[in-house]
Amino acid sequence: MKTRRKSAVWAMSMALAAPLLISACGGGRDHSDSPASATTPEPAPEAEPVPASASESIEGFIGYLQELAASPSDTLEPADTSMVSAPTDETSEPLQVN
Amino acid sequence: MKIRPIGQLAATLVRASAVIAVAITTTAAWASSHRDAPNIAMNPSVDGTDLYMFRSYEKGRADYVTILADYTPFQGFQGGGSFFMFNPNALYEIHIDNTGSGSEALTFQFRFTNTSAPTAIPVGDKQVDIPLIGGGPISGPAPATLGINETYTVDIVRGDRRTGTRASVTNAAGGAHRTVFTKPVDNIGEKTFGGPTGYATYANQYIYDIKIPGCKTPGRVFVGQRKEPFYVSIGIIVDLLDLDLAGPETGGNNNDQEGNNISTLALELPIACLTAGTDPVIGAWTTASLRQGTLLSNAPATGLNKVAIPGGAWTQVSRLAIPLINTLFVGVEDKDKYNWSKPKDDDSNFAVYLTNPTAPTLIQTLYSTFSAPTNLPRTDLTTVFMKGIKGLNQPASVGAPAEMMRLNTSVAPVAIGKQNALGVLGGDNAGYPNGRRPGDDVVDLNLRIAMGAFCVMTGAKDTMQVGCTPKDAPSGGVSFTDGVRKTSVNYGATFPYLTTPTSGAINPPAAAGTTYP
Repeated sequence: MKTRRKSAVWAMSMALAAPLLISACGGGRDHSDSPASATTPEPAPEAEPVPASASESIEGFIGYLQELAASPSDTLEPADTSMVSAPTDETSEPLQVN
Repeated sequence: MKIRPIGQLAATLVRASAVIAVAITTTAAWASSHRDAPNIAMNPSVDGTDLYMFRSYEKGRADYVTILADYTPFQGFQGGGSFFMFNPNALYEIHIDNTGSGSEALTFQFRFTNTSAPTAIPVGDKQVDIPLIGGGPISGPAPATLGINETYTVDIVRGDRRTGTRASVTNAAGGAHRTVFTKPVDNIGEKTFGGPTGYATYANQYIYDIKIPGCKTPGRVFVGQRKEPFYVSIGIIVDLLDLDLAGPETGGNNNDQEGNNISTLALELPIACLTAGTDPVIGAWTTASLRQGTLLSNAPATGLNKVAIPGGAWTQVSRLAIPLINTLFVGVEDKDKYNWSKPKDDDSNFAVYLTNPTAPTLIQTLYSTFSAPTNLPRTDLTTVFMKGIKGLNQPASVGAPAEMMRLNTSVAPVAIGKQNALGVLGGDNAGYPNGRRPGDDVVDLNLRIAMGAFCVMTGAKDTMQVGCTPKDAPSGGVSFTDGVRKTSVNYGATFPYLTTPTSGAINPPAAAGTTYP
């Protein structure tokens, strides 16, 4: 059992070390012609503010949510909600959204 | 005789696989109205699970009706660290129809607010908030050791639930904040509440006498966690009805809800405040609504309830009256729609699920021993669930057929210990389906009603005017059961009748079959 654990640790160490070794020795390839390495990540997209119309009326708020629902994104950051004041109403029925 | 469906199922799978597929999905959440529809299963805090309505049987309170609306299903008793709060972004309502119109004449609205009162302790040179709701022993009112205070208001709306006249229900004891009531925190455990009876003593402080605008006599309100009152052997029912449907009614199977708790809205209201004119019959249902739109904050501030930004009108997401209606009768694709719907529209939306119910056919398919009633359309079901039984709980004026829980408030309450858990079918007209008491066995009763029990009870001359007779229901006299039975003595004798929730700090061994090597 002890031997097996030792072996596992060694294997893990080698797995982690291997990329470093390859990197340190240039990976056995000449990269002089390679394009500039894209190591700088793309800046995170700015959070778009929620439009003022979403705070002005229920129609504007629900309309904005409908826009969001119609354009789901896997790449955007969430919109900036800091200025949102969602309008509410105790007496009306829900808007037709279908 | 113990009847198992295995052989029958094998044959049926060959010739009617489509029917079996439906059986699996329609019984997949058979627990009154716990997780009764796909959408609400994702929103437990607004998932109405059970509605009870009965003449109060507490001594000296016979002139009142008690209404209990339960929410947040399958609460394991170990609910920490946040436990089970009502949703502060939701509107919880109990509606009363006292004209037979199918629409509400009265609505009681509950709105919740959570306020943080964190306990900070010195760590080095800093005061840092602790991560627990309970920061020490909890006993008296407004304990300083409680990190989140949950409060609520109650309004009464006369007329349409949105456009009617709204007024605040107030604490009869007065005070500076008489429109604000406190919900006791859930049962964290005996160490927090000071012993085995500590939680009951603590929670009982929050039963309020209330003044209701327009009513001469005060009522009572309580909101809080209770031990789950609904009893059922859910697991084996969901597993293709893998149980003896005609077996022992008591002790045949275990109650799968026994270890769970529930969150309850409890009202005790004077009968005179609920009825209109001379008609003693009232109908009730409970709903929960959310704002139509919710925007999620991109950067929530410190504090409670800072994540969701809800806006727009209240939009109903949960509805419940008769137990098991959505679960046992409504088709899969209409279950979400049911939760959005109003009773007055039931005839056009859902009547087919009662006139031509699938549940009896499915039972007949799985168990060839039993036969589904032959009277189609099933007027007995539409009568019991959508109109009320004439002479028992049918309103004097019947408007649009509408599914709701109907109670004839002129039927005298039956004392605890003398109630029959089989209600009307057991000769006790103060019980289900004339309202519903905590001890009424609605699983067994709805099975029997679905299989034609009222066709049998009404007799050859159909004296109850349900539109069928015994010859229409070959299995209408079978004592269908899920093998679990409680009675009134398993519940409290006084308002709010539901018992103290199971402590969150017990540490039982795992149930048999749930541990693996």
